[in-house]
Amino acid sequence: MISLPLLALLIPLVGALLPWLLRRSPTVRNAVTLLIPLLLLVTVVKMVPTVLAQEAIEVTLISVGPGLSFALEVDALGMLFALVSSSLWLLNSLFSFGYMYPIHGNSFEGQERYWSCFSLAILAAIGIAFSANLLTLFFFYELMTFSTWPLVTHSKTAEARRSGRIYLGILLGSSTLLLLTAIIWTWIITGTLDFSPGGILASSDATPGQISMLIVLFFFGAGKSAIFPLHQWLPRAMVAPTPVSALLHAVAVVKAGVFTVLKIATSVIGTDLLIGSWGAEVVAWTAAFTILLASLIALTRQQLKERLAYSTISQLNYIVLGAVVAFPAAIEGASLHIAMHAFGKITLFFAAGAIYVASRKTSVDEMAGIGRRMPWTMTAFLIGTVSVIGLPPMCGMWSKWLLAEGMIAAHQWAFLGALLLSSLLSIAYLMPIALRAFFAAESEGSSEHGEAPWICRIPLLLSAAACLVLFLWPGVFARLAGMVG
Amino acid sequence: MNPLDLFNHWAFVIIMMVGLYAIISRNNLVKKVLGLGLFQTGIFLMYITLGFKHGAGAPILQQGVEATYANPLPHVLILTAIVVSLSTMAVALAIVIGIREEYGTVEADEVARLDSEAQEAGS
Amino acid sequence: MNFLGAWSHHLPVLLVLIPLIGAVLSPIVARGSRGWAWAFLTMVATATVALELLLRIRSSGPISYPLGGWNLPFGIELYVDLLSAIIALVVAGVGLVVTFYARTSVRFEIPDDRFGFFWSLWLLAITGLIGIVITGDAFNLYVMLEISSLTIYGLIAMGRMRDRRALTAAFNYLILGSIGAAFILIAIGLLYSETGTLNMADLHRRLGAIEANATIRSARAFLLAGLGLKMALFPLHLWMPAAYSRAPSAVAGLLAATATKVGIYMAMRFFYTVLATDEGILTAPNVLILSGCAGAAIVFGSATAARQRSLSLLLAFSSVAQIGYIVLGMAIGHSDPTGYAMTGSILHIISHALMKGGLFLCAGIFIWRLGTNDFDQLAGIGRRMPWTSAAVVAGGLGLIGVPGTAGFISKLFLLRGLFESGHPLLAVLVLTGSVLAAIYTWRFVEIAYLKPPVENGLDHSEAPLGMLIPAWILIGASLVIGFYPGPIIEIASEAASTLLGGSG
Repeated sequence: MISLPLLALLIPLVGALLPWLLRRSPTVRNAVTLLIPLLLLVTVVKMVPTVLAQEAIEVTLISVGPGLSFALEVDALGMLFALVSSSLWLLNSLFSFGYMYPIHGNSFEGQERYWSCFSLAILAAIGIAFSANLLTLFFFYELMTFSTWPLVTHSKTAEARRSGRIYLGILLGSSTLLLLTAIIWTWIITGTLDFSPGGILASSDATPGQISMLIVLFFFGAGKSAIFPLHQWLPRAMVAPTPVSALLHAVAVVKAGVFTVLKIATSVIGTDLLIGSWGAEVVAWTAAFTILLASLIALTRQQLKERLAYSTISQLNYIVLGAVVAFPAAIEGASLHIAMHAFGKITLFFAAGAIYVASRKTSVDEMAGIGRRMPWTMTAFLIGTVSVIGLPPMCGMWSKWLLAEGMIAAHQWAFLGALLLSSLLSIAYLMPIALRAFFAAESEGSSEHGEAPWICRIPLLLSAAACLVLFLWPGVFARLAGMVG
Repeated sequence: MNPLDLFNHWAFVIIMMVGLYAIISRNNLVKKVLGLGLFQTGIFLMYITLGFKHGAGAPILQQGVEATYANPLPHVLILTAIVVSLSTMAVALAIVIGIREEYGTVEADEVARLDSEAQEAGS
Repeated sequence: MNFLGAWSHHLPVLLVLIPLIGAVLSPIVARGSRGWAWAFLTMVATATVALELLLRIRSSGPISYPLGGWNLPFGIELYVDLLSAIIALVVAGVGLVVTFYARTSVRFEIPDDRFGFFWSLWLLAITGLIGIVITGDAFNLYVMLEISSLTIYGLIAMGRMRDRRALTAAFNYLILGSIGAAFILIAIGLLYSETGTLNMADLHRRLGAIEANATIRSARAFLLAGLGLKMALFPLHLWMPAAYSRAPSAVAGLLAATATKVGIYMAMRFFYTVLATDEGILTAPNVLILSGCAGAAIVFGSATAARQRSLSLLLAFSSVAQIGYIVLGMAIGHSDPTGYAMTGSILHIISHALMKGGLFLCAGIFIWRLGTNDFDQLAGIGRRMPWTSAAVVAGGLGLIGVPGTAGFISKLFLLRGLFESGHPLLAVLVLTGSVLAAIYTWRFVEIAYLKPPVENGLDHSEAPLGMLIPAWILIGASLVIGFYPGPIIEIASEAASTLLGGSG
């Protein structure tokens, strides 16, 4: 009997190979493209009860040497991330059909690469979620960078090439120069790379200065969390097809960054060491600054996807801030925000994609009055907006509530202010789009178009519905988040 | 110590330097090879000097004769080194012949000029 | 595994004799395609012996083999310890794979009537390289060095059929290489004049008993310069890019994988065994020179590689940088008591041999198809020659040091060693080198996968399996090591501790 975490890695691996093997039979391939995410979701869900019962699932894949191994371990935080990634992958595969086929044709160029890289990216996300030590995490972290690069440069235009360079440059540069340094340093100090609850550095004889340096290296090294000044890659990556932006640059890749940050905060450094160190202070202020800066930039962007990207940067740094403030409620809120933000933001991206499929519109200005032509899409967009802002009755409220509670418990009034101010700003940059879609008059000479095809709308409505359902029953996500830290 | 004792040492250093200078400064590939030969010959002299002893004869064992003898090992070594040097010379000259066949010249700057012209024509 | 029976205690000498005899007989027994079969058989035998030797040494320790039965330290000794056995296996193993590749590649690069001589030189070069590694006698080392060098000059010059500049590359290498070898000869002479012995172990013993004087110091200096030339350590790398990019592709693969590695082996052997004294393995100025040159090599090599216009030149400059990593680990190896730096260095010898060997074979495949591997001709090649391009990408990821490749494992150890020995700035340099490696690797990726293909009427179909398989064997081996590094790490760290322990 093969162990479930390993199976969860093998399924997307098979999913990465099949598109190449099935290139001659598109129907079978399309079926497989939906079947694989479904299988993965089932596998991940099967592990949930075990995790909730606080039983450990551990697998050692390869032992590299003393204190070094590739190993998997499923804990609450990892399960949360895996659950979000795999469930949204299923929706996103559906959405990919609805987006790629109308725009690029049923046999678009580089199709095998597209599906294959998607699977690899999810493989990396699952690997990151279930990794039992820093070595495994780093391996999957880099795998994710390399597997998503072909998706960013999918169109092969000069702009895509340039964006690809920045994408790779920032992600690879930060992870090599900072994250790897921090990992090796931790290895030297503690003699191990295995995660352990409460932190491996907590029980070492590292000096406060070293800890602070390590915090800075770790938090900036996880460049996927888009902390200033390493946020540039994310708006650039919007050159990719919208499903890629939706799943990877709102969920899998960026959440891999913040997941890494949270994991390191709870299981490598340990929350006790974080509280009160100057390194954490530096990171926290940078994160707060990023939150506000990104919100302000989002206000000025007219391209919908770009505005969403800056919104993502801002929301990601909520999680970074929560992780580094490190009070229990902040950690819980940050963990929950991984899930809650994902559902809201992917809804917004799906909507942006559906609008593009139906009307080829990309700019916010052109979307006035579009709600009358695309009522389903824009209703979902409104739901996503409310959720991302963090208002009831949408799921985004819970995580923000907990984050705010954490800031209050830590007496971090400035950071609390930053959170609230950024929420106000997010109302300013997101709400008008939804409202003007329904209430403003359409501009002169805009083209005739109707709703997006159903295959676009179904995933969109499902994720919007999830925002509502998770407000009423945050259930398993809340329980998992409560177990973190 | 008689300063002339070091005569050999001075000699091999000078010979080596002359050879090295020729390698660097000559434009003609054959002369470069000759310089290399000179350079290596300097080293032979050094090794031979290592085996030298005042008043020593050849290391031949004779019944009833007790004489000091020169250290034969460096001489044996240098026989090998001479063979190596000879082979180096042969390979070098073979390559120079090849260059002459391909380029029609053995002047280094000519060869470089022909190469850069070919590169410009190619690109 | 003991299939040699009574011959088994002759293993060390067999390792040199087999390719030597193969080389001598090659022009006689074999013409045309039979020449390849002969060379291949010889290499299979050599590689088997090398493997057997490594296993034997792991189980029962270093082997000393007095040639001709002369008493040591007067006779010539073959001395094989774990490090020698590892390098010998790398030379023989990679040599075997590249020989397989050469079967196809030499057909269009070497004139038919030269085949016999080509294989003869080929086997002699391998004889020399292995000889350097297993000898225990300093002068014998010089002779072996010249055997390999002279044949390599000849092999490089054989690239003239494809590119006449191979001749000038070979000539320049010959001049610089001979000067380097002559410096080593001088150093050996000076050491002999101080100690009266040529046996390496004996040299070490006697040098330990005397104060370091001007003679010994100048011997060190000559060695440093001579070995620097041989291992193409920046700034003595000038011969290398031209030689690697213009040699026949199989020769480039062999050289990149083995020749400079053997140079590094010599440096390890001299600095850590022969010259090791109580006051330290390397003197402070030597460490400074070596690590300074290595650091400069990493930055300069990688940055220059990113600006090249052809794949071969890119790979050659990348080698300059990668040699920098290995030398860096070696240079600071003695100040790292945990042995991580030296282990990393030895690991990188292995992983770089596999990766760079494989990459040069891929570069040769492009030449075979397109007549060149200039980047403007490689546009869009990723779709037309997917397997070759994928191999280049996989090898490139290894050069960056992405986890899951052999390059990551060796860099991980090297980095830990640099931190342990208190050189965090050099560690930053190593990491910077990785980022630069990403830049040059990505140049190829963009050209191969994102640029529209060029139409030049040439056949762009995938390479024949005879070339593709060997390239993938090497690249694949580096990936396998990336995932299952356990045994290799174990062997390398044993070798490192022997080397460091031998320093007293």
